[in-house]
Amino acid sequence: MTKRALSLTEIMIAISIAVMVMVPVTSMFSTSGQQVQKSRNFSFAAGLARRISQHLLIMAFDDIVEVPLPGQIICDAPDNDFFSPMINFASDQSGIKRIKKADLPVLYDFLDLNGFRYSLSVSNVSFGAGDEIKSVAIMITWKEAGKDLIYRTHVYVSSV
Amino acid sequence: MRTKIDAFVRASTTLLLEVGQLEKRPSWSLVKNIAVELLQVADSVIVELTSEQGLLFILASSPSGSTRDSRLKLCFQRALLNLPTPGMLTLLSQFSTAELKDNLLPFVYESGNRGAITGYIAARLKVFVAPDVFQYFLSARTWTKTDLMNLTFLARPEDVGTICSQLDTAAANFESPAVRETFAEFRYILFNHTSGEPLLPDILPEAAPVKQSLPKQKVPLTMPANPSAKQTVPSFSPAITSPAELSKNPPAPLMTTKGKPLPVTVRSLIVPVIVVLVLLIVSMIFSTWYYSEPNYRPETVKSSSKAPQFWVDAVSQRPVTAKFLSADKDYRMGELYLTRDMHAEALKLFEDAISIDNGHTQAVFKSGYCRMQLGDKKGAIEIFKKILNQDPGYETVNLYMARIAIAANETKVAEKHFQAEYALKNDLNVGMEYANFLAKQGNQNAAMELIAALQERFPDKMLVLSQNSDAEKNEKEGPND
Repeated sequence: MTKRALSLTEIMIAISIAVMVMVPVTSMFSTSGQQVQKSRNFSFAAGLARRISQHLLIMAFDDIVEVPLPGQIICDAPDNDFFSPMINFASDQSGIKRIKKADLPVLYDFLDLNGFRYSLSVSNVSFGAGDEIKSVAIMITWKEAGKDLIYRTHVYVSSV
Repeated sequence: MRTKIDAFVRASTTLLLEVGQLEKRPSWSLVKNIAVELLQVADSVIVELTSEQGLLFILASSPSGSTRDSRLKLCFQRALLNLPTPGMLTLLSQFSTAELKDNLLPFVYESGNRGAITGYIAARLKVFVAPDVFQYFLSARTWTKTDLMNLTFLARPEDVGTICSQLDTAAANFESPAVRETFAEFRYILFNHTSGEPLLPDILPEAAPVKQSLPKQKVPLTMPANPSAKQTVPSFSPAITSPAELSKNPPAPLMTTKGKPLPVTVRSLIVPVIVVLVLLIVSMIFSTWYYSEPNYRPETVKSSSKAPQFWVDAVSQRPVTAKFLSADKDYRMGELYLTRDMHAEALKLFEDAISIDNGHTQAVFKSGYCRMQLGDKKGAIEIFKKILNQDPGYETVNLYMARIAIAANETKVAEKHFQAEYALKNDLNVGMEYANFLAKQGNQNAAMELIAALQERFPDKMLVLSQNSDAEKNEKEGPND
C-alpha cells in the first residue's frame, strides 16, 4: 500500500475548521469569564449596600448625612461608621482591621482595582415635631470592563 | 475483430442472465462459437473482457491443458483485484479442483488484495490442499486474521491434527518470531473457529496491482505419496527451497525492515488527535490566565474624584445620570408623603422631579395618581395617556383609567381599560375588580366566567362577587403597588 502524506489544501481546510470551532469556544470562555466577574462584583456591591443599610438603622439619626457623588472610596478611607474599622478578629482593640493594604490585602486589592465607592443621598422629611423620616438612597459605584456601574437601594430611617 | 468481440460480450451477457446449467442454456452454443472464432487472439480478448466474461471465454474456447491454464492465470491476474461476484464463483466452480489449485492457489502467496481474495475464493470453492502446504503459505507473507480464517477452510477436517503437528514442528525451524506467531494463530483458529462461511477479506485501495512473476514450478498441493519422506518443496520465492533453508533464509518477516507500519486508521487519526490536544492545552493555558487574579494596578480610580457623565444601572442595565438621581431624590420624598396620604405635597415633589428629569416615568405616574386623588380627573387622564403612549405595558395605569371612566359613567371605556390591565397583569385583585364591574353592569355571565377562571388559578382562595359598590370604594384606596 502506498504511503500518502497530507497535502497543503487538506492542512488548510483542517486549520480553518479548527479555527471555526475554536473561535466560538474561546468567546464562550471569554463570555462566561465576564459573567463570573459581573456577578461577583454585583454580589459584592449588594453586600456593601446591605452593610450600609444595617448601620443606618442603628446609628444616630442626626449622624446620617449626605455623602455626595462620586462617593467615598472604601479602602484607605478615614474612620467612618460603615467600613472603617471593618472587622475585629479579637475580643479587644488589638484585633481591629481596617481596609488597608497591610490589614486586609486581598480585599484592599479587589476594592482598589474595581474602584468601589459608596454614596448616600439623604432627604429629610418632617411630618411634625419628633416625626421625621430620612429617605436615604444608598449608591455603590464601581468600574467594570471600562464602564461605570451603579447599584442603588433605598432605606427610610425614622427618627422615632 | 472488434465486432466479434462485441458480439461475444453481448452473447455472454445474455448467457449470464439465463438460468440453468451452463451448457444447457440457450446462448451457450452462440458464445462457444464466437469464442472459438476468437481463439487466435484469446490473450488480448481476455484482457478486454470482464472477469465473468473472461472465465466464460476460457470455459467455452479452451479444453483443459496448458493453454487453458495460462489463459486462466491471465484472467485471474485482473479478476483477483476485486471481490468476486456470485456469478464469478459459479463459473469458477465449473473448473476442476486441479485447475484451481494450479492456477488460482499460487496467487495466495501474494500479499495485498490478490492474496486475500484468492484465499476467500478458494475457501468458498472448498479447494482443499495438502497439510504440509500450510507452512509455506503462512511463512510466505503477512496474514490478516480474516485471511487466516479463510485459509482454515482449505484444510480438510480430518487433516486438522496433522496440520497442527506439522506447523508445530515447522515453527521450530523458523527464527522469525513473527512467523511463529502466525503459525500459532493459525493453529488456534483452525482449532477454534466456528464461522461456517468464509469471511469477506478487507480490501485495501491499491495504486497498482502487485506484479509478481508466476512460478515455473508448481507447488505440490496434493497429498504426497510418502508423507513421511522429507521433500524439498520448491516455493515461489527462489530463496526458499526447504524447511532447512527456510530457517537459514527466513522469508520477509511480518514486520517490514523499517518497522511495523501503523494501520491506516491509526495513521489517519494521528494528526487530528495532535491538533485537538494542542488546542486543549492552549485553551487550558488561556483559561488559567484568563481566570487568574489580575495584578494589582496602583493607578486605579483613587485619583479620579470626578463623577462620570452617567453610570450603568447594575440591575436594569439602563443609563443613570446625575440628573436622574437628583429627580429620584424628590420622587422618594414624594413617596414618603404619599404614605401619609398627603397628595398635594407629594404632587409638588413629583412635579419637581419631572422638572429636573422628565424621563422619570415613576414620578410622572405618581403625579397622575395624585391628580386623580385630588379630583383632577382630566389632568390625570392626560398624564396616564402620555405614559401609555410611551410604554403601553406600564402596569396599573389602565386600572386607574378604568376607575376614572367608571366615575364618569363611561362604562365602555372602563371595560376596555379593565381588559387591558387584566391582560397585562393577571392579578387577582384586578380580576376581582373587573368581575365586580361586569356584574354591576348586568353582565353576570361574563363576571362568573372570570371568577371561575380566577378560582382555577387561585384555588386556595374563596372568590365571590361583591355586593357593595366597589367602584366608589376603590377610588379611595391607595395604590396597589
